[in-house]
Amino acid sequence: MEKIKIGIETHVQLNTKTKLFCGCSMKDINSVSENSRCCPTCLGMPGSKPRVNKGAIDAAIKVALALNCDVLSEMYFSRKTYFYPDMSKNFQITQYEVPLAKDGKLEIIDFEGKVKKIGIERIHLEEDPAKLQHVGGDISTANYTLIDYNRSGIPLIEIVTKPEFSHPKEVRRFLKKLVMILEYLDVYVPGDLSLKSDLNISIDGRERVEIKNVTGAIDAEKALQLEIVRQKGAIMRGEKIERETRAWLPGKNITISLRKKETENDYGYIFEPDLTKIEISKKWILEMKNKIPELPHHKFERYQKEFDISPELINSIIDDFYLAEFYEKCVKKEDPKLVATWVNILKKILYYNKKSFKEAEITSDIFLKLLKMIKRGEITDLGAEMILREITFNQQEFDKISKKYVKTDDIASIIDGVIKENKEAVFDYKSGNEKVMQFLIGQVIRKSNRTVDAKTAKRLLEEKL
Amino acid sequence: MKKIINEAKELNKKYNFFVTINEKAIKGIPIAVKDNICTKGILTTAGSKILHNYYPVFNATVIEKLKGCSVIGKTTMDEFGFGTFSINSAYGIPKNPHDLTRSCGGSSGGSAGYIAASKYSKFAIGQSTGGSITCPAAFCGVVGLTPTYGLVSRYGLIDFANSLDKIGVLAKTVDDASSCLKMIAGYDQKDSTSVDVKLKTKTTKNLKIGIPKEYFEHTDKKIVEKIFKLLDDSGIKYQEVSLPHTKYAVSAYYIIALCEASTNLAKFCGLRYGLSSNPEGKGFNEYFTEIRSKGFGEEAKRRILLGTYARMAGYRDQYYLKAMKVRTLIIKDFKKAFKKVDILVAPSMPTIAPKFTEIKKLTPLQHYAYDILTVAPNLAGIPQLSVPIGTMDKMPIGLQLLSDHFREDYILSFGKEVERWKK
Repeated sequence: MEKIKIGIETHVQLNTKTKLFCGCSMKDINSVSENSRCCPTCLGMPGSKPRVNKGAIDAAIKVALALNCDVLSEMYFSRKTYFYPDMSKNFQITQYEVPLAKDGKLEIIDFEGKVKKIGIERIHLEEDPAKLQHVGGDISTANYTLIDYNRSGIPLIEIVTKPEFSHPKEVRRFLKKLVMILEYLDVYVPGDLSLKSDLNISIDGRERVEIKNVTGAIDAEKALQLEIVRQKGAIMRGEKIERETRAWLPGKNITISLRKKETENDYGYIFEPDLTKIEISKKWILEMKNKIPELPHHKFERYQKEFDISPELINSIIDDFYLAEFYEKCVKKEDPKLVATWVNILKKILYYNKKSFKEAEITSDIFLKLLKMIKRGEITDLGAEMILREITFNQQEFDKISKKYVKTDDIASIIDGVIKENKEAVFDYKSGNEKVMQFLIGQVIRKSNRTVDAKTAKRLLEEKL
Repeated sequence: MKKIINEAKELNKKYNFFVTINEKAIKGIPIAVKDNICTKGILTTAGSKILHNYYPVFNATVIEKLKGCSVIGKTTMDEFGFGTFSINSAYGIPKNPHDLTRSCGGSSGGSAGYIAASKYSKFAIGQSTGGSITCPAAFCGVVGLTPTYGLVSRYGLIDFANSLDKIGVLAKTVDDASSCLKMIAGYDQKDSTSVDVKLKTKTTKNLKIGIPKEYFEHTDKKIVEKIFKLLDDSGIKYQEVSLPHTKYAVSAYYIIALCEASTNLAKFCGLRYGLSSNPEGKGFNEYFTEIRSKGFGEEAKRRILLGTYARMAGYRDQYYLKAMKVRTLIIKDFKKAFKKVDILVAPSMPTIAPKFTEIKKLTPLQHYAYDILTVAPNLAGIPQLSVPIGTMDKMPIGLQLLSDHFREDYILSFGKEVERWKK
């Protein structure tokens, strides 16, 4: 098997209150109208000056600590100069010689199922450029290009790993875990464009190829898989793998060559002379350390020890920080297994509605009431799921809604009704077609508004027929 | 005020001190401001064609701080401050009020010339990166005050080299300079390099005077003689000190200043403000190139090229980073000298104001060499005061006084003594 080396550089948008170098608010910044959140600084007006948002440094330090990095005691910004229409100043304020943090690691499960440490080379803070919208094509073919400066100056952290991945699957797992950590740290807004990676891959010691700007974990895995296929094909055809930069076209699932090595940019870095050195004290780092909650991998280990539930259920619960918090609140008063089962169902409901737990309305009190009803046998599992679906975003109505699903005393008349209305099916059943029973059970469940479960319905139908 | 505006207009016809005269100014203390400082709603060009139509949407902090003052005009300057004689301007060259065939100096040439010529205005706002206040002050025979780096906010200053730029004052007298500085100094959270230190202006006597020998080596002998005669006549004691790294200052200064300048000027590309043209059918590179080719003058282009070269991979270590190390050594030189003395006294400029015909013959390198006496104090960020000390061949000469960071009180105190000397 070939030896694959992959290293990645991931950019994450931070969810600070204001931009990195000015006071522009970031609230709902991805949904407000274009160019409504900008000021002289993020527009690069002559005479404007950057000033650093401490909140962004706080967030970056938290990420660095969660990824086991050493945070450096002094922080400097640099100018990276290149001309591009998305750059308001034609230079980006970033960090060059001295990053915010270095030498970290993150554990993942490798493609053979074993625990593997991925080294983190460095983490640094920089500003996002404006957003370009090419109308009628790409940058070279478009009729014209619109620029939205709302994005200009949003804080980004760049996380650079060592080239220690040996399979695309590992990259996906790394990014999934990273996203979960970022969500736990509350420094990140999950969204379409908030996590982008540049992927560097080299196979069997051949030249390194970079795939730029791949969004999310799944596309990163896909892009790498396809790159491996492309390179194998090229080698089979006797072609040489050149050092180059390629772009990933997500919809088309292909990569295209952007530039070969010789045209790589020279960014002419200098220290940012409008900003002074920032000292990061041990006290500051400690303060941030204390703000880091129990991280998902630690939570997983604790759940395994404390609660008798399957690893799959644990993963499902801890995947959402706030859902895990909810779970932990509920298990104080209820059986962890029962809670886990129903928290998992709640999660499926959220997933179906494309919402996170934070956006749900349900409280632990109501949720526990529902579990009590299940335990007492007042409602069927099916009925409980129906109630949960209705109250997840509307819990005030719990009493009214739950009443609809309480088991009826009059099951006999429902059974009679179903038999009466489905004479043909009953005839078939009596003639030996047992499959029809499933249909009849379904009718009973529906007619009873899910207050009768399948087992009971089957027993009663069989008795009657 | 009307009188003042009319005077400014009259002077402008003869000397070309202004890019813009603000006829809307109606009351308060009249103040002329160098054209690289943003004034809300008043044309601000930084002497460049690329900003020929730029009306800032905000005031620089110094403008906000000049309470009770009215901006009467924006003064001519070398494009973005790139020059020693104010000849690199897209809006005409200011002429020396003592001799129309000679330069006002630069780059704050318009502000200095105006203060020398005006009967009414007592001070004007200038700005120095490597000597742009001291030079025109000396050539025009006015007081030039360059404060400690960080004492006056740079917010709203169109950057030349951010780690060197300082906003300061050109004035009739040391007291005028001092009262203007009192208005504009002070911490500003909008400028991260602004320092929260209180300005010192109390009069101090019996200051220890040092003479940095390196500053007299490249100066016109007649100027040197005059300075020593004045010092001896005044009866004050002085001692010789050495600033051994002075000889590297011009090289280090130009590398650092141009590295920063070449990134600062990248933003001017015809996208959101300034010179523009019809972009139809052009790629962005083609469009940027067109605007920058048309909008920048020759010296700006030279400095962008030099600055870009000095920070390129492969040259960065031997130029940019090395110049930064030299800068540290120059600061150490001054710190060491200020352990022995309170004030360093030196000529402001190596010659009197040259004639335009003489300037034409200078190579760019000879141009840069003119800054030999001013770039080191600017690299160190220490306060500088240029005080007129009479004339030579009917042209003014300046004496520059230097002190340690935030010791403006020393140079202002001694400056007043120098004013009292019999010249």
